[in-house]
Amino acid sequence: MSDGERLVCTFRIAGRLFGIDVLAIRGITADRRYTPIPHTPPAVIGYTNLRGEIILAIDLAQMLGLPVAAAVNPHAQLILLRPSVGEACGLLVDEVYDVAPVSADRVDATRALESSELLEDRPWVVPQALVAGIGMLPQGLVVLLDPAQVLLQLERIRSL
Amino acid sequence: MNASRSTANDFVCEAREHLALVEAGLLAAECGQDIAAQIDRCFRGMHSLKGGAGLLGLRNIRLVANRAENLLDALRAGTIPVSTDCLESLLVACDRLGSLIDDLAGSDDADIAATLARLDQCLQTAAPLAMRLSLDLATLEDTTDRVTGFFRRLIELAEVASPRVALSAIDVAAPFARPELRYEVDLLALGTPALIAERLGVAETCLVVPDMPAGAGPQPIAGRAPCPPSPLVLRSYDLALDLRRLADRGVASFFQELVAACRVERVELRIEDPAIEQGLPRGAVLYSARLETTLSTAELAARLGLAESDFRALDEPPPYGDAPAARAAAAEASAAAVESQTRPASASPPVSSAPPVAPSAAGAPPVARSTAAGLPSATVTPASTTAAPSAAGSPALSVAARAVPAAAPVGLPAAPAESPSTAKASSAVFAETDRSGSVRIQVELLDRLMNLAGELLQTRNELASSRQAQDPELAGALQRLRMVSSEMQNTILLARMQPVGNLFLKFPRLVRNVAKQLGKQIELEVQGTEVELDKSVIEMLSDPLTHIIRNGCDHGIEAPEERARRGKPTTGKVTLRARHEGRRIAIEICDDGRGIDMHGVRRKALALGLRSEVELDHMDRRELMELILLPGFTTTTAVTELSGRGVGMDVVKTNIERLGGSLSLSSTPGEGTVVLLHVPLTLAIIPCLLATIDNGWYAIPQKDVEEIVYLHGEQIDERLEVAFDQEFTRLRGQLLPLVRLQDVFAHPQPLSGSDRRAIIARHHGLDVAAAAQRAASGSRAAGSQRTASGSRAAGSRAAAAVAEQPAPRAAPVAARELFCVVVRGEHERYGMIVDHVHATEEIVVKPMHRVLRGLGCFAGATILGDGGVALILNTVGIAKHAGLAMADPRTQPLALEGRDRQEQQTVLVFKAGPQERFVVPLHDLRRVERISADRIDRVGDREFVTLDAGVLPIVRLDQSLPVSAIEPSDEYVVLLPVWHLRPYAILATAVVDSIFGAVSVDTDGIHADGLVGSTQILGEFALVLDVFRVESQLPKWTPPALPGPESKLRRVLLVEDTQFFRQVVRHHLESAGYRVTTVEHGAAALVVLERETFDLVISDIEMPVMDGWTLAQEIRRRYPERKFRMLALTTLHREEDRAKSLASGFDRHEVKLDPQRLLDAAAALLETRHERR
Repeated sequence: MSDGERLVCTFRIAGRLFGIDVLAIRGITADRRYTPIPHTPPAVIGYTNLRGEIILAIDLAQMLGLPVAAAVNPHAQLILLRPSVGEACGLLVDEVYDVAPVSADRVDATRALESSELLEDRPWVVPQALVAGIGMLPQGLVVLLDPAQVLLQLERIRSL
Repeated sequence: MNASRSTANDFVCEAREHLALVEAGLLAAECGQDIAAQIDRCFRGMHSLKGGAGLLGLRNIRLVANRAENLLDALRAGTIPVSTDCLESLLVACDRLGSLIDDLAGSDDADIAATLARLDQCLQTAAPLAMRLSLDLATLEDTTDRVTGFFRRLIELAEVASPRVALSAIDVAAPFARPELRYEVDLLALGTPALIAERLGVAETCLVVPDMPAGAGPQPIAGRAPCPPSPLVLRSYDLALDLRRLADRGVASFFQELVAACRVERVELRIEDPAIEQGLPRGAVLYSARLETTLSTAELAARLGLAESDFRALDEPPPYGDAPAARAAAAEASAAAVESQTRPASASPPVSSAPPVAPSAAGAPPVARSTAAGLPSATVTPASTTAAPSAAGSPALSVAARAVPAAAPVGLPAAPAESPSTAKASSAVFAETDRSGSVRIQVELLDRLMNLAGELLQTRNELASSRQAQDPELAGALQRLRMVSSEMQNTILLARMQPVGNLFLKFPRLVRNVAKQLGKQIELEVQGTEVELDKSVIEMLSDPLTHIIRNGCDHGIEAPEERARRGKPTTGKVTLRARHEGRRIAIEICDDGRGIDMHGVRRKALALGLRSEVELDHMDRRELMELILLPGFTTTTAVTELSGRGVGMDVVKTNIERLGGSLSLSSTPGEGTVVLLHVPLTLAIIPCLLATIDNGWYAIPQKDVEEIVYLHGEQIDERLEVAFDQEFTRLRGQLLPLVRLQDVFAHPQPLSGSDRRAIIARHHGLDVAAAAQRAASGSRAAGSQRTASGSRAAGSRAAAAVAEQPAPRAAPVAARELFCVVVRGEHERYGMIVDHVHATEEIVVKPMHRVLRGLGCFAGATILGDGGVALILNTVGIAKHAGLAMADPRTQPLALEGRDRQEQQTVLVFKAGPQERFVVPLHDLRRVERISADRIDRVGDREFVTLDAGVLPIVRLDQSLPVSAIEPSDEYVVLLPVWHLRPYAILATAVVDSIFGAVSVDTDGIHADGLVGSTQILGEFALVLDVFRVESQLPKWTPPALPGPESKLRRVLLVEDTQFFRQVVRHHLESAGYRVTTVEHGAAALVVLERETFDLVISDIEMPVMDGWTLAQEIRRRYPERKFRMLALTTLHREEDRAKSLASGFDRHEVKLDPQRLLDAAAALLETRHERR
């Protein structure tokens, strides 16, 4: 990996390709039981017990304004964030692919998702805040997310 | 600040401890308790603090500590009298240090000028005074001891310079004239001339302060030119000398001269070329030291017989104050010197008197060295003012401190030196800890350990649910794993415990300050400092206790004149007492002041509009008193600086309750007030009732739960009432508002009136108006129906006491059963409707995620035994969310149950043996459970029951109390009391009833350990149990290794007619982990075999009714599939007997009675059986 590249963990949500810098990731886990937490935004899936630690699971599809599957996806995976990025927090995605290098000069930070307008009835949909840029991979475009924004945005939404 | 963070943290912790000790010492000294020892301790504490600050490069802290240390040193040496002013200055310095330590990073930018100035002011009074002593030694010459004693004292008290001795010219013509042997010397001493003179035992006139008018003292001796008066200023010199130069005149005499002439510091001895194998060193022996004296270079050289060039004068004499610091620094040097060569020690007497400190220098890291307290070897010269006091006590201390550099216990004094119950503040405070056995641990680390222990437990659960776990051996191991991991959790919790004395340390100061400000005399007595509490609880107790104590001093204790008028001692007394009370800690704050003025409270409550006159008329003393706990209440008419600002006891009460504690008040006018706090031992683990709502698990803190009401079938319609937009039920004649948690959780916003109406409409399927109407008529009927019920328990309460087995969940709307958990909110009781209630569990509380702060309904989360996460409910928040909470108590009707709670309680009446009835307060019980007889496991002579995957020892009351034994039965009731050290179960046969009302206990009639007394209840005599005493009588054993769930135990049927053998064999089998059933003959065995299955039958041969051979044949005939093995155990030992046994169907024939052989045989039989399967 050259200086201008960074490693990105790619994953799929609602049929689209997204990526997070691997340095932000503590681990990936699947097949979890979630305890719903009443009175929280829909993006909060609930608590799950990860080896004695209580982790807050967040549904990225909800925050990105993507169509939410009606049925629970049994293959859904939870990307655990490093404490410095998102304390005791995990992001639920449909499927995790592999880690790929994305060269920095191929990241376009100016482009955002097409459905980026703030939805008044769904204030938790904040794609523009989460998207760090668009990267190029051999297999196509990948939307790079800024995981540190997830908890920040959630906190902001709750204070609205 | 370049120190690493962890070093800085260690320093902060340690510094706080030192400060606390110094502060307490100062206060004790002020009270006149053993002043010298206290000051000495303070000095050492301050010295250590300074050392640490110096090491970390914390300039300001070091400066303040150094100055305070100097003052303490002066006090210690007695050169300044211990005055209130000095102590006050020192306390101020302590405060300043405290604030500097709180902000370590910014400490060097802080302004410390005022603090230093104040200390300097005190020190200046102690600035050494130059004096000239002139006296006739003849007046001393009565005994030789007087002369030597005089000189010794002189050296101790003062810096001595330019001594001159002269024999006066006498008139030889005069008969019997005595010559005057005049001794004159310049002194530099701390203290007044009068003080010095007194200590020296000479007339005050002998001492002259130079600028006093001449003539007051004796005339200079004639015939001898007086020495040029030394400018009496201490000068410092560095001396460097090769000791070989002194070889001819004697090293010893040189050193004697040296220490007499100067104060010697920073002694260093260098031996060149220390090649020991080549014999004794022959190279230069370089001696270097810092000297302090009033002599000039020339004088010094002349006196010591050295060249002036041997001395190097230092430009600036260090201020007096830095001396101890320099001394401490010198300590290292001298320590090193002593270590490298012990010979000079003999050459230099002062050094030899110091204990060898070699071990300290050898292995200790630098931290330890510089923080070590006052070192004896520091002061090489006995002329030093500080040498004597510290030499005796400190070596042990300094060495100990070095041995474990960063050591400090997790808590402070683990065990106060004196008997805990009588320990006064000062003694408890100064219980110096042996720190060698402890380490400092970060709380975070403990939390992580706790998580890991939980993880272990969960892994075990996963393992247990796998199929292989059916293997009995694995089951045993799993059981042990469970016990070990929960034991581990308990141990970690213990590590979080700190003695409450740490918190109490700060109160003597508080009381002193308050007393001073108010012009009162108050004494604080502290008891029970050794009682341990979780660190977080201690932290949360600090503010409430401060407030209560301050209140006691301010409002409670009267001014001295008033006390005298009332015939009380002028010094008021505040007592702070901590003690264990079950699983809680009771903290009592008593004052012997004027008590609470009931009329004042009444007037105030009326004036503030908190209660109406009618309400007040109906209140008893205690209720009136509790008004004080309402927000906005204060009784003093004048608002003082200290209290009475209206933010008062209500805040205290709220804080204590937030901790899961309680607060109660009692007061006798004119005699004093007692505030009693009950707090839990720990916050991290709390007992919770688990409930499910919509398939989700929730935990309700047990402290909030009052009872559980179970309604089913038609009861639901009868007992649920609707008034306007609120559902109620009636509980013992009182309306209890209901909250449907399912609906509360479905509404993210607090429920509005229309929300509530919609909910009611949905649940009742009718419009609100009709519902209200129905409710009105219903409540009338219910009211009249229940007027006679009095204190008898309704059926619902029996349901509360005996945990019902939850039935399959029905759809919520059509629910034909309903669980209502009666909880306490902030100001009100209400019922939470949940789908099901389950067991009570001790859960580990984890806070809600940071981004979810502000979710009022939840207090946290926890991990359940099955690995799922449950939310912990916040009863106060839920009441608010549901629109129940009436925040302003002024508008809230008087809590009717308040009166009940005071003197009345709910008790459970039960039977164990056939003869007696027992009574136990319901709040002493966690739950009551019905069990079938086969759930009791016997191991040895002990019995266990497995509940909630925990193994509880069973207590039969007839074992410890003189009561009738329990008759065997198929079903029992076990009572699970609130426990202190370990859970256990009390075996009973039946629950008679639960009674709500006042129970008057007669404590005189019956005495037995485990009983409170007796009472009359339900028209019968009953014994009142003291569950804590019952627990304390539990044998001190741990559960044996294999008391696993009964299904995992091998079951043995023992057929034996002799009672003795029956018991012996049974005992051996049970000790080996078998579950044993005994019968007396073959026929009985067959009966038992029809009901139950066994892994092994052990039978005697010669028995009445049916012998063993017949039994074996019969068994083999009836059970041809040979589900179990059979062992003959008999006294018949002939070979033909053995053959007959095997022919009859026994698998093995053993002769009585070698226990080990029996067990081996049994194990072997079961092993083959296992393999065959």
